[in-house]
Amino acid sequence: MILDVRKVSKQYLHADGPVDALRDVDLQIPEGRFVTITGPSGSGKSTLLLSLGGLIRPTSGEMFFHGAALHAMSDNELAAFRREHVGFVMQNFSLVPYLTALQNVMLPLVWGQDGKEAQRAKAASILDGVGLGGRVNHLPRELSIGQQQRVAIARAFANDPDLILADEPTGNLDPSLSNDILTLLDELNREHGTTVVMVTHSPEAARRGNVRVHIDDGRIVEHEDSVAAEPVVAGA
Amino acid sequence: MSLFKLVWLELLHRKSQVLSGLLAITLGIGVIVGIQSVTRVSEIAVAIRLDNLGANILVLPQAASVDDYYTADIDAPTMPEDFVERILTSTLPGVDNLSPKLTRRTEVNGRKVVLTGITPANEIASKPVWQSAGLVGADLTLTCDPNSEANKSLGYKDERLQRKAVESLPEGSSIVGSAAAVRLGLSEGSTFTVPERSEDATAPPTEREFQVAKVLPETGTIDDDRIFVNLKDAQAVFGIHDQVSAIEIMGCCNAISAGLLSQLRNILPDTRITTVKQLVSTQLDTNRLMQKVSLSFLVIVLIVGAISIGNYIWANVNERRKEIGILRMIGAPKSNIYGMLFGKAIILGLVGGVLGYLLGTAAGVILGPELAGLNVPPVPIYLLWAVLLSLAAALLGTLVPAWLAGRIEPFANMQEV
Ligand SMILES: Nc1ncnc2c1ncn2[C@@H]1O[C@H](COP(=O)(O)OP(=O)(O)O)[C@@H](O)[C@H]1O
Ligand SMILES: [Mg+2]
Repeated sequence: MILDVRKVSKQYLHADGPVDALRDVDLQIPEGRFVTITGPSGSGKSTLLLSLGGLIRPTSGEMFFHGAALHAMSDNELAAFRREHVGFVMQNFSLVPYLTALQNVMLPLVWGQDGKEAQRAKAASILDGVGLGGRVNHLPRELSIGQQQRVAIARAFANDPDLILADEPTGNLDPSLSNDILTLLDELNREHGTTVVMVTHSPEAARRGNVRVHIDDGRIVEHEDSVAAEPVVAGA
Repeated sequence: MSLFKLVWLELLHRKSQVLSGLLAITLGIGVIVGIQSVTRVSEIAVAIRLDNLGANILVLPQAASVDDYYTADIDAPTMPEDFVERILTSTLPGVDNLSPKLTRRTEVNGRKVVLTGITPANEIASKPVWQSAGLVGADLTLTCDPNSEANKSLGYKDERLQRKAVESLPEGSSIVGSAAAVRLGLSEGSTFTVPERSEDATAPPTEREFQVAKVLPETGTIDDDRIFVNLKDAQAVFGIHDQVSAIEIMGCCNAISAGLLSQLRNILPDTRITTVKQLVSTQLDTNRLMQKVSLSFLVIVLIVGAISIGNYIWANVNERRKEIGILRMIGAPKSNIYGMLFGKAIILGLVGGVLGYLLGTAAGVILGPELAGLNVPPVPIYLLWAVLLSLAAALLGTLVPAWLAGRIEPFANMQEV
């Protein structure tokens, strides 16, 4: 199990009163899966995803990453967990505006062992892999939004993460660009065996996943794992 | 890619903001460096001028304040003239000349004027202008060697060593300062009268007449506004017999540093003994004022510089909330965020300090001769102080914005689209 979530609840304290964003969520995710999370707006999808990435501390419950207790980690330990094991792809691309595509992808390598040239070579080859070999020195504003999201995905993969967390990565893209991005995530998941957890509101995008989670009002209401189910189907 | 490179790229990205953030600190440091450079030069110039102008040790009555000496208050205390003898008979090395004086305010032609009685043979012609005015006197016999290293220690030729004393100022004659001469309408050869105080209070008021032997050229000192007469005349006019209000002593630089002052204090225990250098700040309030201005400027620059850089960093942090969120998301610990902001403050502090130093120094070098008539050379050590001050302001200003930046949530970039 790369991720093991046990009875996790998250309550936001809002001026209008407490908001229960997650209620007793239990979720086990085996390594290498492509997980999609769907649910209505405000159902707690982002809260769950950010908790998995150590960006939000659950109010109660336990979360383990390869057995390591995320809920017990300090801020600095969580930061180290993120830079060593997690890659994030967000809906709004989250690129640093004054850094070129190459420099944005090199960003997670700041904390690594690689020298300048090694960082450069690695970032260039990842950008090549997402089809942006010819755009390495472009600033984000000099790229189309589809290309910007590719850079974001390249950056998420730069530190060789075990886990990619994507929050509506195609939310701002038109259908054909969405398809490209989903295919890219799919390929990276297959080729590298990286576990991908993707929040989406699009049922079509959700069909890409081999684990599908549906969440409503902070509760997991559906959870199917087609990979785990396969041997059962094959055996029947 | 390194964090420093990141800071650097960000600075280059928002150049105009950086420049406006630097403006206040650069100007502030520039003004301080300018003022300091000018003050330093004028202090040196004043010290040299004072040294050249007058006797360099002053013996005053115990109760006197230094102000009395310069303002010649009517009631200023006096001391016995015998003190001169006491010093002379002690044969202290380093005492080259003694000049007892009695100074009081009086009236000439209905106008107030300061009258100083001097002892001619002993009065030091400490003012080089007295010589050029033709007051020829005997060469001072000096116990100090004019060529000794100690006497060159101030870096200029000791003009006192070539000065001459006023040889004669007979009773009834006077030397008049340039401003006083103009004010009272006196010229060489003319006469004036001064009211004389009689011992007998019931006697009718009398006056004493003086002839002007010489009008001094302008010296730019308090002497310009004085009339000098023989000490005996002054004592008679003021009814203060055998008393003086000050004794000026010319001492050698090396003798003063070797403890001449404390030796004099032993001989004359009931007096105040001070050197002209100690009087510099009293006499030249402008220099003191400059220092005060400079000090308050220092505080203002520190505060304004800190606020301006703090304001820049704060605006910068706000503008970069999303970016800081991204860095935190990718895994930057808080310490990295603080490090980047303080690293930026250090760069701004260094640049502001260096630019401010260059600005202030250039202003001094270019404007000094025009505005103050002084050659203001660059002072390299001020670069260090400028940079330290600027750094202090920058770091101080960054404290609060950095603390606030540390509170930005790692997912701040996701809240807004
Ligand atoms: N920082 C926050 N403070 C208060 N309430 C929040 C905060 N973030 C999210 N919420 C609330 O928590 C609930 C779940 O939010 P979220 O996880 O963003 O839902 P989703 O991503 O499924 O749209 C919503 O009702 C939302 O208003
Ligand atoms: Mg959401």
